Amino acid sequence: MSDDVVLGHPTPAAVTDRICGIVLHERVGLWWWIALAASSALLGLGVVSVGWLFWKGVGVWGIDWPVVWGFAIINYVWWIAIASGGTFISALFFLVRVDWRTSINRIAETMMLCAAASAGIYPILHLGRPWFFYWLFPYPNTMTLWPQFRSPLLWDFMALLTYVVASVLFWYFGLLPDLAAMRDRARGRGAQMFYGVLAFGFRGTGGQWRHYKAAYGIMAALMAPLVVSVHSVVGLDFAGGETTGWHSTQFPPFFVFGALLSGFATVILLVIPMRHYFSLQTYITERHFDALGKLMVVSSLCMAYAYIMDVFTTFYGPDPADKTMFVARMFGRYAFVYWSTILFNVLLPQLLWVRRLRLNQPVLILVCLGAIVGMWFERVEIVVTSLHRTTLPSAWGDYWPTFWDWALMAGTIGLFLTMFLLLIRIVPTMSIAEMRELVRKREA
Amino acid sequence: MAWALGVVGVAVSGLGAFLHARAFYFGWLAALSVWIGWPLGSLSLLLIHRLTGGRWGDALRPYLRAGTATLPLLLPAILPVLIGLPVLYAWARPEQAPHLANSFYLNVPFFLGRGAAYLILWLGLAAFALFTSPANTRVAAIGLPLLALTFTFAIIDLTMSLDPAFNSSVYGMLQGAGAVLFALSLAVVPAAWTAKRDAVADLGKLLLALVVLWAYLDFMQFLIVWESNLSHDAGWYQARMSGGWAWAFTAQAAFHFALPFGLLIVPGIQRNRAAMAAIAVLLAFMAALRGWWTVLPAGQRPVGWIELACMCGMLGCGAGLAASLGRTQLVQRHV
Repeated sequence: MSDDVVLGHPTPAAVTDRICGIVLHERVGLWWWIALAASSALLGLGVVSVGWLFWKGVGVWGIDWPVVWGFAIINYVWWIAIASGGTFISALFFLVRVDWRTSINRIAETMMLCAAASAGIYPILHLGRPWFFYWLFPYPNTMTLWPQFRSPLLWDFMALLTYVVASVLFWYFGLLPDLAAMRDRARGRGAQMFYGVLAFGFRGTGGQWRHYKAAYGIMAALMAPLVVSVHSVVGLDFAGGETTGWHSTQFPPFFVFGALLSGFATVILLVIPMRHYFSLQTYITERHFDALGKLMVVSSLCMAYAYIMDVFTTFYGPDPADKTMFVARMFGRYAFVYWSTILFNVLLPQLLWVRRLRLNQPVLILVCLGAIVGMWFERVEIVVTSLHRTTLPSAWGDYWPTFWDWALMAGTIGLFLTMFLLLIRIVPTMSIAEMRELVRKREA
Repeated sequence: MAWALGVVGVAVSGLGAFLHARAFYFGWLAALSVWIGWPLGSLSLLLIHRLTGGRWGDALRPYLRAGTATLPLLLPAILPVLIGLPVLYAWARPEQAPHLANSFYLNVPFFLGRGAAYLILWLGLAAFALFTSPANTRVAAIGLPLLALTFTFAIIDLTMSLDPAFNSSVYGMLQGAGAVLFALSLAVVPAAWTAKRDAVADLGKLLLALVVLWAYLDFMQFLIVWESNLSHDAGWYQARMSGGWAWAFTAQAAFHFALPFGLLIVPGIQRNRAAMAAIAVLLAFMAALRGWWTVLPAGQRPVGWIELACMCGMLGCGAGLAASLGRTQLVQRHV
């Protein structure tokens, strides 16, 4: 296996030509149109389901007493975790100077942006009266309305808002030199104007580069704790409640582990087809899959640790309701959810201990798809199985999603894919500036 | 000098055992729970470095190896805890144990059995880290998760079970981060002087990352217990936030996190050898305070001369042994 992050010896000019060429000069393949048509159809279904939701209210979903949090919170947590994994690759690995990050950080950041958009609409829709969403924010008003600062839900709103704004800025700021390169390479007047406006006058002077590098470093240093905070607050949303199965002090780091697993898995699933269809084998090598595969194993082991502590502290602890709920979780009607979580998040990723399997793309795709499904099941497990066996046995009840729950979920998948497919046709799929620097360093 | 401190500390704490057995047992357990972080934290850093590589590990290796090599000291050091089990733990007292909901787990035979298994695994891993070639990574990859799990359950047994009602799922992770931070601090004290200039800054960044990780986990545990305000969890903090312990609690926020964090984010300080060594010494002292703060309130004991002697004895003997072993072939062979 080659340990190189770049194959052969491409020149910096060849890097710019190749990456700009994908967007500026190459015709899109049929695969792109088919994928866009499918994802747009899903998005359309989502729009219809949101319209129906607004018309009828949240009763169209499967939520009811006692499972009052259903797909809205499950899918919100699922999507925001996927987004967070992208930030880890782009920000944290930048700070620790990991060389293989360069080829895939743009894909990870673009993925983060699309996943954050899919996540962001859920809490708004779940409010029931989404047009009052700004009531969450502490603003001066005459209604003596003031949010509860001791509630993690308020901090979730703040953390998510900060995270989304910072993610967009981080993504866009990283794009500036590349947009300038696109402006200079574009042939048509329209494209030159388009990228020229977006590049904000970046000309690549020494002064601009000095400021750019310092600012990018600071932004990366801010993004790393921000991504931990956003997912920790999601964990606190649950841990702050007295609900069975939720009062667990490991929830904040546990949720961060989950974000790593599902985020890495999604990045791999996007990188594999893009490498193939855009012929990026020179820049995305076996080294990338090897490293990402190892990260999948590490995050899966962290999840396994958290699952062990989850079982242990439930039965070690004093609360009989917690124990009843956990037995129902493992052996009740939702047992398939619990055991699917274990299978997909803990057992399946262990295949990637073997280097040959890490480099085998069908296996890698299978494990990553499994992890994404497994992380979704985990959220179902946390939300549904905890709520369906509350402390009061007379209030026990089941939850099953309706057609409109599934339709909205399909809609968010459509939103994610549509955004992603459009963005990879508009902006460079790799950081040209960083890749040129990497190529130059290797030659030196 | 370390040996002298250790021997005098052990002798004085032995005297304390005769005069005030309860104070001795709690003081010794506090010292043991702090010291155990040194060999096991060093071992985990050695195993991590085998897998990741990096300048930081090359700079720390001799000190981490010396720290790991002191693990057999656990064999005599655990004896006072085993003798004092009924004094230390409610679950080891025949009159109280049957009333505990978790006595299926917290009972003397099971405690001894799993403790022996942890010890065998740790000694095996330490031997692997000390005697095999650094190119051998497979056992390191399998050993690290096992070390994390066994340390978690061992520290739950040793300190969390002092209050059998207290139940925190992040406890093992938090204490593990604290142990690695403690081991890293002790290795940075000498390494700050011997490492190459670039590597000193790497050590500063690593120390900063661990300070942040430890503080994050500690704050999350506190925040969740505070906002849930359940009697069995909040009671653990209440005992540790009243009387003189409130000062120890505040001191940890200030000197185990805020001050080292504020200093370590400054690039100039990260490259300054004397400053790095001073911060590492501060962090090591704070780990000792943390150990007292965790253990002593369970026995309603303040920090007195017996507790001080136990801490000096345990850490002094550990340091003396590490310094002696550091000069031997055992530690030097892969340096």
